Amino acid sequence: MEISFDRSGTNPDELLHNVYAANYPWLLQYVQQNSGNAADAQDIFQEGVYAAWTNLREGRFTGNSAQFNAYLRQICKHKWLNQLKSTGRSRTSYQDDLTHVEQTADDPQVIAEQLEQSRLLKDCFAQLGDKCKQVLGLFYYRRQSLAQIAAVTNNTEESVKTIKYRCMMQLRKLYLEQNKANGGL
Amino acid sequence: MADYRDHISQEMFEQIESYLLGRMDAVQRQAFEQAMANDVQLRNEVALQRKLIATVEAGSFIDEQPGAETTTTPAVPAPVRTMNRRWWYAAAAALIITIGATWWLRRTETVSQDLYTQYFHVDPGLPVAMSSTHAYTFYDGMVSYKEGKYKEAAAMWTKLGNEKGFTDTLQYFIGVAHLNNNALPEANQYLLPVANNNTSVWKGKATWYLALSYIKVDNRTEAVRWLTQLPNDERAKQLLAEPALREPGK
Repeated sequence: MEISFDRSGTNPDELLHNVYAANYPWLLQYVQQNSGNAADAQDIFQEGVYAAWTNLREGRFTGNSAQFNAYLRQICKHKWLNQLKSTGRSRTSYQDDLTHVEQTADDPQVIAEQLEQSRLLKDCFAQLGDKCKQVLGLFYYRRQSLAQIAAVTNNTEESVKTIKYRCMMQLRKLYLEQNKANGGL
Repeated sequence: MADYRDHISQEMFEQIESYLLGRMDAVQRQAFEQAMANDVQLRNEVALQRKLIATVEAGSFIDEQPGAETTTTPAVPAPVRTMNRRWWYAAAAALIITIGATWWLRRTETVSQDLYTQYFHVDPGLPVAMSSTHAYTFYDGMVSYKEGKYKEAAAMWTKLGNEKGFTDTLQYFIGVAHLNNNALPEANQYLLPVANNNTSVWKGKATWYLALSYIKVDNRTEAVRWLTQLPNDERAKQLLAEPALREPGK
């Protein structure tokens, strides 16, 4: 299945669901075969998809859908193997594993930094209120028009625009503050 | 550390957004890219907004996944103890009495809660436009209100009222903000003067929400008193026709 990964992305909702369908069953099997369970697989997938997706959107990853899937799997593997190591459940090191994984392999240090960034972004998004998440999700993720969102949220289009702006500025503030606190940027 | 502007106006934000979502025509795009070439802060801002939009996309996707829901551990079955028949009878009788008493005491409260749930809809508030400089604090509070931050909105408006005086509009929205936040005494404190204000355009709505507030606390007599002041309001007529309100004392 070939997916168009243009950076503006006309339908992230559909793309991300395709990514999930193509990769989650594999990840679940991988984690279960390596001392984990379904909840572990969900956590790993969430972290992985955040990192891979933001890198795709920011242009740090370029490639077709097969390469993107390999990239996401590599990130997920890295995350899981490191988690096993940190909890003492496995003696496998990531360096050992890298010798036989995908061609798109990034430096483990780079992947670790990307995962840290995606965790921070995920935390910032989680801090938004439900109304913000609803309006932003409908606009950027579902790509609904202002008129559609206004109808769903019982607002005017002008109000939706203002709420969207305010919510994005809130997300921006959270991210810049937390990134600064972490010594980033 | 990358250099960012302290403040991004709504106009600039929407321009960047149009660029990132591919909604500019060729001429606009070229002009915007030219502006970016000469402005490092604008380039940084575009990169930042791109990251944040990706965050919203990934975050929204994750929020709708089954794993995003709270996993609940199945309840551990309570240990089964053997009891003799006499204890069984006593326990069963106690249970029946408890259930009956609870049902009796809470029946009216439940009816009121059901009515409240059925008839209460959040006032959507007034349209807001960030470009409007008139009554900025009021509209700033309105944005919070529309974001569902009722406590924050009520606090902003109360501060505004303390500084500039309480208009009926201000009183009404402070009242509904408190009501949406389930702070009923505070809601009534602000809705009551508006409901009694014959010159206010908010009188009808304040009366309606005041009545609902009384229903919520199961004061049906007071709710009926306020609802009867809305003879032309279809919702009020419908609510007054509910069996529980036709005989509020029962």
